[in-house]
This record gives sequence, structure tokens and C-alpha cells, in this order.
Amino acid sequence: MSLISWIQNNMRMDLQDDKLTREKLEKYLLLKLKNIVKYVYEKSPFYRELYRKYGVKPDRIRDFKDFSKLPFTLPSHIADNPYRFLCVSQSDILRGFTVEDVNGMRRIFFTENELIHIVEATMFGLRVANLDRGDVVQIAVPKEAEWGIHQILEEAVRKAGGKGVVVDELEFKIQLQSLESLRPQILIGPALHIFYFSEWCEENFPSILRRLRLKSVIISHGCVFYPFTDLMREEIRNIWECEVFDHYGITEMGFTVAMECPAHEGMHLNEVDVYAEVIDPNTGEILEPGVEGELVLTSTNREGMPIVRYRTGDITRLIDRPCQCGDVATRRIENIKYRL
Amino acid sequence: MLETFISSFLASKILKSISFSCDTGLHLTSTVDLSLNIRVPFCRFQCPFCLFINYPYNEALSDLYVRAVKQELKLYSAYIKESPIKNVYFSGGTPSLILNKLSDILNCIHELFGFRGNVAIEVNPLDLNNETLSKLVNIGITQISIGVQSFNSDVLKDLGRKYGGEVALNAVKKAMDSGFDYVNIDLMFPSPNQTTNSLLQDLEIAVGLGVHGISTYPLMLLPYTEMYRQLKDRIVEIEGMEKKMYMLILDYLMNVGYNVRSIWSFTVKPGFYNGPFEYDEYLGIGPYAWGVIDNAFTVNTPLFEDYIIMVKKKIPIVTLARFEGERSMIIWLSRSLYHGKASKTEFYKRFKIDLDKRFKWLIYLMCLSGLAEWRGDSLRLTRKGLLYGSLTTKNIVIGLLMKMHKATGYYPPL
Ligand code: SF4
Ligand SMILES: [Zn+2]
Repeated sequence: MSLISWIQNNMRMDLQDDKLTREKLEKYLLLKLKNIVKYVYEKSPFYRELYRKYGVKPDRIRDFKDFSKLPFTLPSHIADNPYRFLCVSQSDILRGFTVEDVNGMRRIFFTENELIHIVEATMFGLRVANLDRGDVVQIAVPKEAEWGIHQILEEAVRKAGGKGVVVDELEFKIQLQSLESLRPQILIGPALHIFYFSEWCEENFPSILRRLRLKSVIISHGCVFYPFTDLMREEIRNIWECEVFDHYGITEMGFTVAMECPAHEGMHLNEVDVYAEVIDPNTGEILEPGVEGELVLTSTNREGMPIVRYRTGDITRLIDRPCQCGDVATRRIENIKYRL
Repeated sequence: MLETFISSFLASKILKSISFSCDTGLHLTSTVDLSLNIRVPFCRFQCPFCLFINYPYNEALSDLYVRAVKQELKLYSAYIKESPIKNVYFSGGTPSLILNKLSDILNCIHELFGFRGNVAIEVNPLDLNNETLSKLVNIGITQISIGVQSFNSDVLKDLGRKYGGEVALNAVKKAMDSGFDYVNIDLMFPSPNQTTNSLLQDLEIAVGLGVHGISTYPLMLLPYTEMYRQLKDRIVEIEGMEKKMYMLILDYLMNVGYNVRSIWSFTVKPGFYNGPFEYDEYLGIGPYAWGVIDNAFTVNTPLFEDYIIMVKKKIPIVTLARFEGERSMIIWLSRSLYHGKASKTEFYKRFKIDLDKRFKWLIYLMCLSGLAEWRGDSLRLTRKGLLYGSLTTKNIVIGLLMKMHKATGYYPPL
């Protein structure tokens, strides 16, 4: 399973006959970028002011190079006033999420359509990580208000024909008990929780471990703020004798940014919803694939609060060579090394 | 002018001599006395000036930590049977957070190496009370270094420390009454709103309490720290204060009978105690611990998670810098001068060449500019030499940290 069908669905391409190539995807991406820039210029007070200040003419964007000259959006811009980013009226917003770090507190808003779309994207991502019809998934994620991450995951698993069970209590004993009674094929949770939980199980209950036979471990709020190192991945893989899938998502971009595939050589970008660039954090210049720099993301598919050229502070590299998994169209990123 | 030139020349020469490589194969042939520097990476909070990444303490993590440290010690024990362990130092982070687990580690060191030497520990004033102090004594800790930073509540607040002057004072008082061989305290200067007066008061209190050692560290602002972000427009002003304050510390402490243990440490019991990085050769144990052994400066993996995985199979050194030939001489000279003096006899013993021949010009210029002078067998830093030594050492430490962070890969670039 790869993200191709997800992208083809969204591009409304014929699933059978038409093979998705990088070329076709780029055409599509460029179109989306042009549209989103026009859209935010018309609808969002923040971007109208920003683009006027920089003399940006949205209909003069012809290629990716033109696009890469647009000014950046910084976390502090959103912290200052998230409402100025809105392209719809506040009554159309169904759910807001809060992000807080050294750059301040940011509110990120989503419409109902967007949340439904996120569930869909998540479902495709989970299928890349071996989720099949009939699978049981233990979701080790704290419960939040309605439409929280836990619910998005639960809903996505259900849509894929599986059963997701949120085990909200992260205490190791309870997690293990529930693994024993649910016998899930897949375990999802935050990187550090999964890592320490695995160490703890190995140390204290090695025999139970072997009986559990997980198919996949999926890292939920992946590597953000924290390097999820190769050693950690290797360790988790050895402990559970299963595949480990990393994932990258930030709230600002609607969570589903990139997902690791079974070839385990980087995370495929969800190029239905985001366009990724890697820049030199000091000069802002675009860097070639393979060169380490700061990830800059644009949400190409949002109606409520699209964000254009957002500086994530996350350090990684773009990979543009074709992937062993057969998905030759989407680009990948390496796991995040650290956040600036 | 000349002194500035010499200092920056020396700093750049030393930094150039230290280049890290990932070839971490060590040939542990050392038979000299070894010490262990065991870094405990837990803290209650991250202080805004702290140069290291620490982890919030929790029981489960600390169990994993102790298990991993024992595994690492075991790995070393296969190599260093010949070299007796003379000192163990628990450095921070905040080792006093795992007080109840220290004896577990010490027993392991005893079993593996037959160790019976000095045990020193860094403690946070918040962790010192009658109960913890008697625990420390009972598990065989003989030397204690208290991270006071200041006795002045306003200064402490600026430094983001979560206790007031009163707590610091009581902690030191109690420690003095607990029968340790050596009580050291750390002070920091200059902090953003500290005056020379409040620094002087800190020194007077420390001396009044009769502490055996006083370490005074200049504030080092590294760009990824929170304090750097707060103070970056005031760096020049703060560094101006640093010079004045260093002279004040030096003159005051010399006057009341303290001796130079190092550029940044003063003692009334010379030869009794060494700070965690002041030993000749020591192994670094724990995540992001560093050591000096067999003419190499070693650095362990910085990440706690990687650390506990790595020690299952191998010594967790991820990068090291070798000092060979030329390099080892300049490193030796700088490490000696860090302690205030360099002995000709010792240099000869080590390198079979005369110190004053090998560094003829450098020494000539140092003497000419009044930074150093010969006294008998030793080249000694003068009062002015100690001041420039402090400034230079600070630059070297910052440069070294930048190199280390870069070599280990997971820190924000500086
Ligand atoms: S207590 Fe010490 S090691 Fe811990 S954060 Fe503060 S300065 Fe750093
Ligand atoms: Zn792939």
C-alpha cells in the first residue's frame, strides 16, 4: 500500500490506467500552489497585508521558483493573531487546536470539511503502515476534547475497516494489560512513550512480549521536539519483532504531513495536502534535495486556515530519488533531526 | 594588547588541536590512576543558562539510567583491570535527585574494580536536609560540591533557580556540620543584575562558613540557551562586568588565605579535592559524559535514549579527539596552566623535551606581557595571567562545546 491511491483519489485520476508520475504530480502541485496563494490573498487579512507589503502579485506565480520567492510565515505571526489567518467566517470553524512552545501559543482552526479530510488522510497513512480490514489497533494517545487526535485515529481505523481502541492511560502496566486482552495487530503512540514502554516490557515481561505478535508499531506525534533516532527505531523493532513506522505531522499543517512506507527509507510527503521546501535557516535560500536544512511547509488544500511557506524550525533533508516501495511520484523527507 | 593577542592565539591553537572523529576505537592501555566522572542527566527544571540538555526526573527513567550505568561500567571493567580507580565523581545534571540509587552504582564500582577511594558529588541546595545529608555520608560520600550559584535571592531569581538565599545558606551550613572531608560551593558571575557588592557578599558568606573550596564560574551564554535569547543585546555590557568581578574574586580569596586550585576554583585544602573535569585521566560515564583517557578526549552519546540502548552492546562513546605529538603538548600545557602552573620536570618526564625549549616564543611572550613568570621549576600564571586565563578558558570551553555538539549531531547548530 502506498500513498499513491490517496493522491490519485484526490487528483481524480483513473485508478487503473493512469500511472502517477512525478511530472504529473508536480503539475498538480503547482496548480494547487497558485490557487492557494490567490485564495489566501483574497480571503485572509494576514496574507493580504503581507503580500501587499512585499508587492506579491498572486497571478504572476508561474512556477515553483516564483513561489519560492514568497515571504515566509513564522510561528510568531500565528501567535500574534491567529484570526487574521482565517479564510472563512469564525462560525464555520468546528475545532481549534492549541500549540505552545518557545515561539508562543498558537491557535490553529479547522472546519468540519477539513477534519473529515484529515480522517481520510490518516486512514490512507495507516494503510501504508500495514493496517488491513479487520485489524485491531491500540491507540496509546491521551484523550482530548471532541475531534482530538485520539478520535481522528479511532475514526480513521474504523473507516479502514478495523477497530481502534484508545487506551488513554499511558501507565505501562495498563498498556500491557490492554495489549494482552485486545491482542491488537498494531500499536500507535508517541515516540518516547513507545520507546520506554518497549524497554520496560523487555526488561520485565519478555515472555509476554513474544506472544503478542504485533504487525506494526506506528509513531504518532512522531519526531517533533524530539529526535526519533535510528537506534531507537531498531530497538523497538527488535523488541516487538515487527515493523516500525515513523510519521511526521504538525498541527499547523493539519497533522498528516508525511508517513513512512514499508521500504523504511524516509517518510513520503502527503502531497495532496502539503508542499514542502527545505531552506537554509540562516539565509532563507532553497536547498537542493539531500542537503540538510529547515523544513518549510505550505498547506495546499485547506479552506479554513491555510498557511503558506511556514517555517517549521524542523531540520531534515528532502529525498527525491524514487522509493523502493514503488511510489515514484511523491517526495520524501528524512526523520527530523531536531527543532531549531 | 599583547596579552589579548597571546590569549586568542592560545585559544585558537588549543581548539585547533581538538578535532573530533567518529573513529571511536580506544586502546585503553592507561595504567595511571583513573577517576570516574559519572554524569547524572536529570534535573528538576532546565535552568535558563544551562549548556546541556537534561531530562526531568522520574522513577522509571532513573531505573533505566542506573541499569545502563552499571552496564557501561561493566564494559570498561574488561579493559582497565590494571588501573586502579582512585576517585568517583557524580556530576550533573542533578545527581542528588537519584540519591537512593547511588549506593547501587557504588556497590557495582566496588565489585568491578575493588574501589575504595574518594567519592564526590554535586548537589542542588534544594536536596540538602538532615535526612539526605546523613544518607550521603552513610553511602560513603566524602566530598560534596553544592551548586549554590549565589546567596542573594534576587540573583538566584535572575538565574532561574528555584530557591532563595536562605535555603542556599542553610544547605551549606548543614553540609559543613555533616563531617565531609571537603565541601565545595559553586558561584556564578556575572548574572544580569548582579553588582560587585552582592558578589562580594556571596564570597564573604562562603568564607565565613569556612567552606573548603569555592568554584566561581563565569556565565557562558550559548546561543541555544534561553538566557542568551533574553540577554543577547547586553552581552558586551555583561562581559565588561566579568573582568571586574573576576579580579574581585581573585584578590578577595587570595587575601583571606585561599589558594588557586584552578583558574575558576579556590581552596583552603590544596590537593584534597578535584572538580569533575580536573583529574588527569578519567572515564566519562553516562549520557553526554566526557572523559580524558589515553591521550584522547571522549564524548558519550548525548541522548539518554540512545545511551541506554548502546550500552547493551558497546562503550557508548560516539566521538573522540586524540591528542598526539604536537597536540598533546599544547593540551598538556593548557590543562596545567588551567591549574595555575606548569612544571618543567613533569613536562620533561612526559615528552622528553624541555618545556622552555618547546614553547620558547610563547613562554617568552607570556613572561614579557606579564601573564606568567618562572618560579623555580614552574611556569606560573600571574594575577593578570589568571584573568586572561579565565577569559581564554571561557572561549575554549564555548568553542569546545560547539565542536562537541556538532560532532555528536543532535544539538541545534550554534
Ligand atoms: S541544575 Fe545544573 S545541570 Fe540542571 S539545568 Fe540547572 S544548571 Fe543545568
Ligand atoms: Zn516508499
